[in-house]
Amino acid sequence: MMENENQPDELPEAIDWAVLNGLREFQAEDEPDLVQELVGLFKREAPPQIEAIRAAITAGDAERLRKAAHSLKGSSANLGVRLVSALGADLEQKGRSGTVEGADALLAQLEREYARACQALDAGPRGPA
Amino acid sequence: MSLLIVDDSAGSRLLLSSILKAAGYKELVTAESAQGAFERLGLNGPATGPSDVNLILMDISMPDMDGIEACCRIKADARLQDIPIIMVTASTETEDLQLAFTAGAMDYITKPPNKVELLARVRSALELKHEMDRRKEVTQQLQESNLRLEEALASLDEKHRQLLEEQAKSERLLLNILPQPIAERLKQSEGVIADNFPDVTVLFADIVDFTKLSARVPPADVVAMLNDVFSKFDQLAEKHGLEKIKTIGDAYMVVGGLPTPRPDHAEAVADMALDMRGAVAGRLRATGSLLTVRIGIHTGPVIAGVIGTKKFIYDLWGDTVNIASRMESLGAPAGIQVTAATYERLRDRYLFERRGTVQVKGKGEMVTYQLVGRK
Repeated sequence: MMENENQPDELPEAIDWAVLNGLREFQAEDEPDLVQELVGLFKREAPPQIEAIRAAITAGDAERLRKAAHSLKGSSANLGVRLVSALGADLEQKGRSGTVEGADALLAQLEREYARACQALDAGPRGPA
Repeated sequence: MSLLIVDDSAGSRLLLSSILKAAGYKELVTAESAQGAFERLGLNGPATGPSDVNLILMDISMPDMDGIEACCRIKADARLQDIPIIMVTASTETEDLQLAFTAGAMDYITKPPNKVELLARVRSALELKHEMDRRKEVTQQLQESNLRLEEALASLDEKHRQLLEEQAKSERLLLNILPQPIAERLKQSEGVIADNFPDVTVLFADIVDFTKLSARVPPADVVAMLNDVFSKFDQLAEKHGLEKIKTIGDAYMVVGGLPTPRPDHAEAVADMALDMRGAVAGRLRATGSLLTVRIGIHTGPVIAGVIGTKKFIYDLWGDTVNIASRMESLGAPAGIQVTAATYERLRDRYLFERRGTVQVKGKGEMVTYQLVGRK
């Protein structure tokens, strides 16, 4: 389905680094590293949100899907985790239209993007190609 | 004075706090649920003073109670409803925003928060809050001074009422002493009042053998008896529309035809005399013997008015007064002696007996008549 699956380097950048690095502006003196802390919180909060999406789809509950996807969309957008946020938005839209049909495919895609985002967050921005 | 951030995501709370802190907002508190926000605000708690929270940033999408519902609850609380609420949402769906504004939110920002937008909206919300607080204070001050004014007015009303009451009381007293038109003229500060009345009828009455009576009966009993009789006379004077002038010892003086002239003054005084005689008839003196009055009447011109500066009395002067007094003092016990002048006025309608002539000091001989009744 995804033709670029075997060529990871050509996948679109998982993180909008401008957004994430922009957050350093709000770093307070004498405080722990803000970006690191936000990333840590994101990694802690995203898995239960993804689990909530999965549970909503399994239960066929479109409203719960909409809410869970909305939360993930927001927390990922905060850090510039743009593809996860975009897939969250797609899932939210699905929930809003009152159905969970086709949501599992989007969820699978979202889980892959989430894993890729985590790697990228750990590795930092790609160097020039 | 603090800002309250309500969001179930620790990451979102940290991010918003960091942006605001970097912009200089030091007093930040956070809550991870609507319930936590209510606790922080003291909603549903015991009534405390106004909240120290100046602004709320509220995530729309939270488990349990969402931001819309929480906003409604806060806006429904009289102590909290002035706190501006800015909704924080990852959604830009019109219907979500519509819900937020309907719930009473003042503004919204989207996730990820844009620093410039966030700070601008926070600043304008705080300015609004500040202005609302100031107006509330001014309104309260106005209400307080209004209240004080109302109290002052009420007390003034009460004083005015008391003054009117006092005025009415002195008016009643004055009218007890002076005829109303005379009282009015005195109030207009006319100096001396002395009016000519060319045609009035004057009556004197006294108790026969009063001097002897006073010598035998305790003074208190004498006064009680006089009071009894003269009170009855006062009622009769009022009934006949006559002006009581005064009492002098055991004598009673009344006049018809002034201060408001009337053509039938002689008749009114004659009726009064007959009624006075009737009123004492049958009354016993304190000694057990019957009480009798002697009455004298004369018709002619008088001067009436108030003179002097103290203890005002509306009094009469002139020959007519002296002659009326003589008619009484020279009259027979229980008799009503009138002069020819009065007799001429009344002869057609009243019964008289001719008494012959009496010697009047300063006047010589005068023909007099005894009034005995109506025809």
